[in-house]
Amino acid sequence: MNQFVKACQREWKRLGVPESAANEMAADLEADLAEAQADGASPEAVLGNGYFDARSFAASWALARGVAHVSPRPTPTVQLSARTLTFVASALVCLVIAAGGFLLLAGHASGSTSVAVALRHSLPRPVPSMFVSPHRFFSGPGNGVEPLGWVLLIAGLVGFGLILWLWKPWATTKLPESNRNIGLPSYL
Amino acid sequence: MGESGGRRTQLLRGVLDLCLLAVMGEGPAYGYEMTKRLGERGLSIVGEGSIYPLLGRLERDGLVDTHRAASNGGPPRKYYRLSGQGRRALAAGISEWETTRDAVDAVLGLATVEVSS
Repeated sequence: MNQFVKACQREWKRLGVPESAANEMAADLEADLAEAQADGASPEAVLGNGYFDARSFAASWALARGVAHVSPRPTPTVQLSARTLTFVASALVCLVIAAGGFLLLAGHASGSTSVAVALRHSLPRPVPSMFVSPHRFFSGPGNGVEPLGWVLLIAGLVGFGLILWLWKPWATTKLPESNRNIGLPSYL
Repeated sequence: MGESGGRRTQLLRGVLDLCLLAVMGEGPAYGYEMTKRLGERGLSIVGEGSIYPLLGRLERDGLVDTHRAASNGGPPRKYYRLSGQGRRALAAGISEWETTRDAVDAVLGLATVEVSS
């Protein structure tokens, strides 16, 4: 059997084209190619530029006949999922940063009784002094804990808000027509 | 593909289905036979899209009827012929084409172009 026809059959199988329809298309194609060869014509004279991309040719024929049962292009869905994951991960990072800032501020507001102290009691071995109290770690004039807490809290919340703001238009953006039709002749 | 080739492709894209219906109007034909009929009139599909997806679409839309029959000494082939709906679509398409062609001719026919090398 012609290699081109074999490649088409593989694609039709992948697309879930019923065997009877696939066999019919393959038989017609093979007979036409054989006749063209006997006439001294090139395969391109039969297949047009479809000759250079068997998969695309096979998919466009099956879709045009309405016998393909699965989408030939799962890629856009995968792209959308990766995009969603990126947004969710970024939003989580921002929330963690904001939470860190809030904890620093809460610890500062209650004097030296910070969450870090609670950690110290719960851990079985000595904790490095930097975890005992943020005051001791950020020692120095003016004590930098409170500004740092505010910076983290604001940065986290602003980042989270920015992601939500960006998310809405991006989530509703449709992929360009050219992306959705990759590989298919545009006359379809 | 050059600029003129790209334009030819674009122009063909809009009328290739009509051309297929027209050659089917001369009598039932299988895929390669239609390609040959088009070629005899100077319409080669080399470098253009294949006719098979178009035939599939015409069949799906009910513009053609199909049947299998033995070809001249070869294996059985799928023959396409115009359906009643296809005849009406061909008539409407020819009318649209003539109107468009006349309008474009009226514009392009007035143009005088000097090309310096």
